Amino acid sequence: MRPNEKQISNVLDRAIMGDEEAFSFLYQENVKKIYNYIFYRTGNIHDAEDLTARVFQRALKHMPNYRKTKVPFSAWLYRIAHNLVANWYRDNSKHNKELPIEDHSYIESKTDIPEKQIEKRQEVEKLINAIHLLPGDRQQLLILKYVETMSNKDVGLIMGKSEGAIKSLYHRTLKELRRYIVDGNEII
Amino acid sequence: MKTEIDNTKLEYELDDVLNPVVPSKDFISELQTRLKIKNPVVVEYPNYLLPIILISIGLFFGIAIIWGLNKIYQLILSPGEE
Repeated sequence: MRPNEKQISNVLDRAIMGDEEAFSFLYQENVKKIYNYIFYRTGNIHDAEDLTARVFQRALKHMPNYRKTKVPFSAWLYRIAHNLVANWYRDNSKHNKELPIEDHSYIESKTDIPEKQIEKRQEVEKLINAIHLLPGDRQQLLILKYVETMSNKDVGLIMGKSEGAIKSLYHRTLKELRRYIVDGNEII
Repeated sequence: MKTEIDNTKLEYELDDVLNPVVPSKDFISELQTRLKIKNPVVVEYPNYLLPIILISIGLFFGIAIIWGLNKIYQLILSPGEE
């Protein structure tokens, strides 16, 4: 059973006061979301685990400074994750943004048919690499919308934008993504 | 043609590819345990001893060399006084 708003608010109050159990509950509620976000941004399990750990360590450290608002708690965690991923990109800027093939093997298509697996794998790689060429906020939008299956309104709450702004950003993102995919094919 | 990919097809592909990944259970439980353990605060002070020793040795030898060179210079300038 999902906790209601009042229960969440109570847990947040306790976590702010330093209650370990309350923070543990918040961790359990959010760890998969944050891991997924970081995994799709970094493209590998090792960095996803490392950065997810750092997100929660930082959240635990700064929990006493957390101020409750109408925005969900996960928005705060996503913001920490977003900043850590940005630092990770800066520190690894010399690395190629294209991910090694084995890392994509964790991302399986829903419609995988054995005889078309190789072809499908190449398409998946092309799409994932194109997504990684997008600016951070656009990657975040796609991850929240598709991986977390959030509505534009919820994505807006997390990203601090209006529903209309998210809708507009989404269309621009699709357009840019399509351009990257087409350019990638021309190069190949 | 790939160039004719429309938004619907792209959205379908995104929906097909961007699926939730499941972190390992070991990782989740290990991290939870780590978050519960309060790390002891260790304050590290910089070790000034080595630079002080090196600077002292440098100064000592520097002064000794200057003193020695000064003595040699004085001996060269006044050979008749011996």
